[in-house]
Amino acid sequence: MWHEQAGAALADASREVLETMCFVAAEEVPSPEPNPAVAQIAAQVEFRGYWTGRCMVETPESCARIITGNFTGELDPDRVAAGNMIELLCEFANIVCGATITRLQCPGIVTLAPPHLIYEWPTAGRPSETSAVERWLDTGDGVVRVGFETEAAA
Amino acid sequence: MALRVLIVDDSPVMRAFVRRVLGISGLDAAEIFEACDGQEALTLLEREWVDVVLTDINMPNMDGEEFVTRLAQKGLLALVTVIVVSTDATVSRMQHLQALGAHGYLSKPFQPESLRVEIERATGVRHVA
Repeated sequence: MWHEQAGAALADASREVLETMCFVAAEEVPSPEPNPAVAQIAAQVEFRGYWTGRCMVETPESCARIITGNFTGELDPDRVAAGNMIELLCEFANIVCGATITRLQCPGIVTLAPPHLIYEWPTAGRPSETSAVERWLDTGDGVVRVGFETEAAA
Repeated sequence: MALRVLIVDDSPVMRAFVRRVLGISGLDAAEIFEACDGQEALTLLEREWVDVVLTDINMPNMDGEEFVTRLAQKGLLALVTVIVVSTDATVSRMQHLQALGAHGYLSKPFQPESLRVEIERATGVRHVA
């Protein structure tokens, strides 16, 4: 039950952020085959309080460049600074995390830590009581992968 | 009436986004200032008059809650409209910020129209460019 609700909340939140703040239409798709030839960048934000967990975002660098341009108003992707791209991905993770928690109607206060880059999508070392969901959204310029984990939510 | 707006957010891309959205929304913004945290915002407010402050919550040095508290202590909340712009839209957080004295609350993600509507609601004035 929790997985369906959290997955839907995560996908809806991510799509809304892409559409309303990055001006990019996005469609949920099944997990794509990994392509090691495509450079990916990823960011994560941890949260604690009434709930504890983390939210992750990963996208091809080329897609991040386009999304950043749309977000900031720099419509030439080649002029998007790498630093802004990293900032955007962190901010994206931050907003998706908050919007997902809101959709799941957390009854207490949750504090988000500053988001940061991660160099590998976390797959190991999860606490045994952690519940995790992942979703993928195709923007037309690349697939955005989003993940949400929280302890003892199931 | 043209507005003087202060954007308080530690993220440069978020400040750029809010600045962009203010333009898209149709609001008549005469001048837009930026600060990266509550401390820098307080310093700026000592020398610049602004009509509306749009502030994030989670920031280094001085976060949004302490910033709103300091504005209240200085009596500035009677003069300046403060709208919290945050990823956290839980009822408990919104009630807490409003109890501190914030005039409005806008949760991310938001559309340009939503920003204009919230500023108009909080200031009680229509501000179409």
